[in-house]
Amino acid sequence: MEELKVPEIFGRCVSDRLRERTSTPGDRVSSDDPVSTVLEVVVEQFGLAGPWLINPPLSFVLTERTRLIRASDGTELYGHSLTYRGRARPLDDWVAQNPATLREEAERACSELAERLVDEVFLLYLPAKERDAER
Amino acid sequence: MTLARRYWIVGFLWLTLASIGTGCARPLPAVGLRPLPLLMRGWTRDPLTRELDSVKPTLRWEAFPRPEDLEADTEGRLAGVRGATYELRIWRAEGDFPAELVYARAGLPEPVHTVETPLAPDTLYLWTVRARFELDGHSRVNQWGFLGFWTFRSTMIPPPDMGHFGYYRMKTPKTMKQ
Repeated sequence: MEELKVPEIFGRCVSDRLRERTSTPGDRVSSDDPVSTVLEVVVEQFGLAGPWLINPPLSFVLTERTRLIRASDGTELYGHSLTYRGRARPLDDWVAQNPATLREEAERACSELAERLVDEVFLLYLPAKERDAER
Repeated sequence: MTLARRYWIVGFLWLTLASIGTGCARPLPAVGLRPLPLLMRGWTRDPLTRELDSVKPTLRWEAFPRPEDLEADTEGRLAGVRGATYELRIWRAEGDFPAELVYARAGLPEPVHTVETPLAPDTLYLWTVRARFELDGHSRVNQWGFLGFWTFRSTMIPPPDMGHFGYYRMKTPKTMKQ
């Protein structure tokens, strides 16, 4: 699992999505611009998950935590956690298939979760009632 | 997969089938834009899946903003919506899972689209749609659409990481009729 380098892939996916989908740069524009907010994205956990059974169906699961932090005083302005859950396959299938399948699934997880993250933080419009319900 | 999550999946499927089987006339609750009736031959053995009359189906959905969006917009912000277009995605399904993204369109000006490249015959697909629009000078989207279900007393919506269970389902005909 460690060889998959999921945190690195996920960080790259988030930067790519930020550039593609918003006018927000993934990095600072220039060193002269003061940073007002910092987007912190952390991979909390990843791996295969499933019930305790014989030859259980296992899904690739990736959970990330996003925080938008005000740089001046470290106040958290926004926080959200998202989870990707892939298609369940029997343990035997994961074992029988070569590592490329696991890598493909990890890359898909990173790509889809990065897209959801950018949508959620920068693009998603929720009407007032739904925003209130989320709080 | 936790025990609670497995119970959730079983409950979702059972209650959805039960609500349809008992002739529940209420529309299924949904997040995002709902699909409108498709041209179809009939229902498949899976009562949530519609069998299409073409491998290049015409998909229709609700226009944004809907009356319910305006009603929920207590701050009146949606009055400033400009240039709403639609994004559409279609996946080949394996079971309930969107296994492969086979078709995607963005910038659709109307809430209707005829699939331009034929889908594979006799295949289950999942699809969803959302609106993209300008609001106060910023690009915004609403949530990808998916269906929830009615229980006997309340509305159930899948958790976000399982929203694909509610993507709209369609099955192409056995022949390549276009």
